[in-house]
Amino acid sequence: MTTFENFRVEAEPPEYSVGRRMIGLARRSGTATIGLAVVVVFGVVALIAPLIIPYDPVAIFTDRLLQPPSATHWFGTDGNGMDVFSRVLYAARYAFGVAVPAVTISVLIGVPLGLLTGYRGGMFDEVTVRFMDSLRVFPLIVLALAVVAATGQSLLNVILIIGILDSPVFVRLVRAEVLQLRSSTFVEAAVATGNPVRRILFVHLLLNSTKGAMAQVAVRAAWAVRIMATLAFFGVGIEAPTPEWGSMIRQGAEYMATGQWWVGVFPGVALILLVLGFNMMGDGLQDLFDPRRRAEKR
Amino acid sequence: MSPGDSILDVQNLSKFFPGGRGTTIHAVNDVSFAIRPGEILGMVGESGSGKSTIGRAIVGLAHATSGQIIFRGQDITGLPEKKFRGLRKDLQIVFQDPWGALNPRLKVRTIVEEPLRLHTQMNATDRRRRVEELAQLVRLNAGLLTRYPNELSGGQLQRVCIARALATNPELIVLDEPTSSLDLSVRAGILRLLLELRTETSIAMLFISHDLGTVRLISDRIVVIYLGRIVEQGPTEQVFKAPAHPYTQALLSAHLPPDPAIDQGRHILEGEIPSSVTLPEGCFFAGRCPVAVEACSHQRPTMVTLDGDHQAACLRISEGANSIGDAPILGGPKQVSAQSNTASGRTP
Repeated sequence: MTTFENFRVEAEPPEYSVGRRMIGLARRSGTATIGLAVVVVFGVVALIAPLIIPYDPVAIFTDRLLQPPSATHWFGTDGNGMDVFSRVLYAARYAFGVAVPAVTISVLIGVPLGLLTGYRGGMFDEVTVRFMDSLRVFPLIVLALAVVAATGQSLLNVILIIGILDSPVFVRLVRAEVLQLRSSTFVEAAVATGNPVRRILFVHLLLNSTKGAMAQVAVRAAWAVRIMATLAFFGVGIEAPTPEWGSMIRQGAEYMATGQWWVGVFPGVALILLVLGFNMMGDGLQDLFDPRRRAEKR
Repeated sequence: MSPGDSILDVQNLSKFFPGGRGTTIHAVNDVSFAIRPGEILGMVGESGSGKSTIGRAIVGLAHATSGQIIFRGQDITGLPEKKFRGLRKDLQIVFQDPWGALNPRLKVRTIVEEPLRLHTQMNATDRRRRVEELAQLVRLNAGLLTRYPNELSGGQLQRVCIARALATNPELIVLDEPTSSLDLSVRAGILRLLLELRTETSIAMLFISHDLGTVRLISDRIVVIYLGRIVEQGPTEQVFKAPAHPYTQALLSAHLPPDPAIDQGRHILEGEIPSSVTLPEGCFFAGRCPVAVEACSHQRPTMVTLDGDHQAACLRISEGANSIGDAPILGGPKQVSAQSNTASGRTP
């Protein structure tokens, strides 16, 4: 047999350890790394909160109402005599407990719908896009407030509503990618090979169209945390004694004028830090995934 | 030839695209040809002549405006994708651009395996064995199977595309300019592979190309397309030895001979291909044809059988005046004419 081109098989690229990958990430995007670090710290706190908090977050010390920060109560106590430090830490569980499933729901609804509308086009696409645009007309927070108020206050409702209301973000991102890929040769080749639509969507297009969506996950998690806090601030969503930053800020706001700043400031700082962390992470990830964006910033 | 003999029968195929502002692009105009089992049919034409559209229509990636495509006796024109899918195992295509035709996120092995997964009941072990067999068949180093497409060269990628097309032992493969985006040295390798496949397998091929040398090397018969219309078809050697249509003659004369000492009359066509939006009334080639007469610009020529399978569509064949070698204006290399012969400003 004739020899054809001479093939040289190069050595396998070395597998990098997690540590080396992190160093690589830090070099390429400082923003993403700081954001990731903040999110990880909060995540760890949420996980081990029951082990590290000094008091039960809903335990009432009737003799210690509104005490300023001290050695026994680091962040002071609130109007009900609950330990603010324990509550702030414990509330991280609710932040993640809502944000993670809510964003998961958004992705699970948004990505398949984006793939399908982008690939199919036509009336189906038109109707879906118009429907999503019409959702955007309302400020989402107003919509969320209305829906939670109507469907009843429960953690599950809050998760579902945030997840569903935010799914258009993923539909739009994935759809835009798919529209570009739809007429590319490899998708045509996939059709010509005999792939059913299902496989074209979930193998061929999915692998090539979700970078943008994945970078958005962190940004949307920040949004979910914010919306959840806002809902609680307005007194809908998660109910009162449950340690939740939004409802704690609400209570703190009442005491601000009378000088008991610690009731509201500590949960507020926690909320800001986590939202900021998620946003920085998302921002950094978008830069990593989109070199054009990175170049523009320079 | 009766339809029963052929694996593919294309009858009066036309494909029009909307061209914007209410215009219509006539990409393919009333094309009929057939491919016999195991035969390699070469299809030549300039860019924009509708060759690729014909290929895409055959594999169901473009829907015919009119006409019929019959595969193994079954009319597959406008067949819904769901029903077409069952045929795809026997009807495959290799695209021009190997860099774009492979999913960048899948390993080569997965890509070649895909048709087996979709169309056969083979288990993982059998599929693995078949993929390795295919790699060998297309002379692709088996070590490359675990790579991603961006780690391979253009020639290697095209071998992967060919392996994927061959995986299910199809009866017909459409090769849409499989070598034109490759470097010359790599192109030779792919061509040699196709030639070897021709002897090792009995797969019929439609080989689409704008390169005459390539087509001559590989095809049993050729079809010459001009502006989406067949101007000549016949056994390769016959067409190359005695091209009947003036366009074919001009194409062949533009093709450099291996021996530069051969004194061949070169006919340089002037003007551009007419717009496919407003088709000429008569022969599509009349505007650029050195031997065109008055009648050519309002009468559409029909296919004239020269001998056996060799046919051409030129009005002047019957008078024996179809040879552009005899044309008074553009002669051999020694009498290079300065006279303009453009599509618009020429009198016959």
